[in-house]
Amino acid sequence: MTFSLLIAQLINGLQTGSVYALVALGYSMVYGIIKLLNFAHGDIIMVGAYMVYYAIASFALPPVVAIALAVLVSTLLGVFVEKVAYTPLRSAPRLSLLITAIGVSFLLENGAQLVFGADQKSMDPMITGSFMMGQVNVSYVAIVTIVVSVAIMILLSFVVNKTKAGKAMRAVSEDMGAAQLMGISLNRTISMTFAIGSALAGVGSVLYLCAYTQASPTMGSMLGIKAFVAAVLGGIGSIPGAMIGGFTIGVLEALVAAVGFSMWKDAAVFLVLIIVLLFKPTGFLGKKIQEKV
Amino acid sequence: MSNVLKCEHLRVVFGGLAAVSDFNIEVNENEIVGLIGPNGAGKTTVFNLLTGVYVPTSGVITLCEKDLAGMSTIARNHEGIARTFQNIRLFKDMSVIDNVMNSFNTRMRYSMAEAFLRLPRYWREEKAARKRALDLLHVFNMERFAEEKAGNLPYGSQRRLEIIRALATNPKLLLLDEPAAGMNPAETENLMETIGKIRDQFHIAILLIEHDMSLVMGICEKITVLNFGEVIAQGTPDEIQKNPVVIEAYLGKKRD
Repeated sequence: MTFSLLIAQLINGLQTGSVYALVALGYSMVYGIIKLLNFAHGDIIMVGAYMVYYAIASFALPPVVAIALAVLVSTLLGVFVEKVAYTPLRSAPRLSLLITAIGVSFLLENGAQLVFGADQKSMDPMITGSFMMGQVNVSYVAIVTIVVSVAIMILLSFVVNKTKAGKAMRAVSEDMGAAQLMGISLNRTISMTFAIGSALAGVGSVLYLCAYTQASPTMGSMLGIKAFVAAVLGGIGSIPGAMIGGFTIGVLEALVAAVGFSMWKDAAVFLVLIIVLLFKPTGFLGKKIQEKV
Repeated sequence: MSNVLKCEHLRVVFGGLAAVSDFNIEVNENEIVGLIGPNGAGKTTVFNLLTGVYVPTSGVITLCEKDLAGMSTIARNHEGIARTFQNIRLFKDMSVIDNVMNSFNTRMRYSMAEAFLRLPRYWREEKAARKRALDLLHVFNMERFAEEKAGNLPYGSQRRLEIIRALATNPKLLLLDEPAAGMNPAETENLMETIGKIRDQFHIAILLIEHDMSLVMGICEKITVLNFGEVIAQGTPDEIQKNPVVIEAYLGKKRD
């Protein structure tokens, strides 16, 4: 393997990794606040991708409008799912919540088959072209994807660390009861978390379509599960962890493909999950869970 | 002196057990009232009833003559009830100042869009909240810890921060649940000063649960004694210390 090929694969890896990272952030933020593995999160991306597809391929709307539509619909859908499916179960055992999330995931996938059809929808790439960086051929899509993701992560860090909504989210995730006693609204804070996570998924769906140019009803499940592995690897509940985990999984996939095992790249990702769960279940940056006595 | 908190015939039953029965209390402005009693007497249950964590089976709670029935924990906090916890429950991973600023959260009005675009209202409100938080920390000589992680503070300071965080919600009634638990005598002494300072500077009513008798007898104007969920005595520290029923509850009956 030549050096330039390695660099090219690294850039590919960062590109897919940034989509994983955006999706993983949604997983991690929701887990951090209500301890729910929201398995419907990947399917939100699928819905976002269809929005982009229909906006551009069917209605010939400008890409900016399509992107705004995807983000808006994803956000509303995320909050809607939270209100309808998860809020009534707030005091239920966590297992009920988890099973509900899996149910919502099936509902969205099968609903999408019904509404959009079971076939794959292909569209023309939104961003084309590439340029030479030394010996390496770099596509504009890769650069746009990485830059957009990093910019969004910086914006997210600002929201979480410097705004009242972000501080409320951190407070609720640390101690729900105490946060309420300080006058912080649980409903609003949890909805805000779902909104932000789903908006990130919406952006992820746009970036995913830029790279793969096709939407299908089940596209969200593999993407969602890989993002989940990324969130676990980074330490579930941790925001920087989700970013690091996403990039790591993306680069790992690309490297496995680069050495000639591209058939095995999914297996490699799940091997990572098994290894993390066996040897370091808290991931890179996760916290030890202390059961309250 | 106006009446801040009034409980009448408060009662709560869990299963078949009345954890609190016929609880009556009045706490006035500028007053420190102690709630004492042996372990399991129902003191913390009273706090949970006041803050809306538990719903009373019967009885009335009024805050400044407003009936609190049916109000959520959050609504009660907005009405003016704040509390601290027996086991410290700070937001340990957040900085000291963020812990305090969280209490202003619902009183800030800027929207997410204003924050994204860094519009003036975002800056103005965040700056004002920061200043108020620092002022409050300054009153209790804590401003030097402002950027420290709350979980890294020494024990006594964590307790004090919890009180500051509660005060920051601008309460009319402050509930302190065993503020001196785990403190050494010097720290307790310090805490008594702090509590006195709160009453003098903020003019609020304070109801505190405490096992440390030097603290209770030292700063409380009135004391209510609970045993098995019932009020067995009410009065000034002097009266309580001499009350045979109280002595019996704590030490058992004298054998003749």
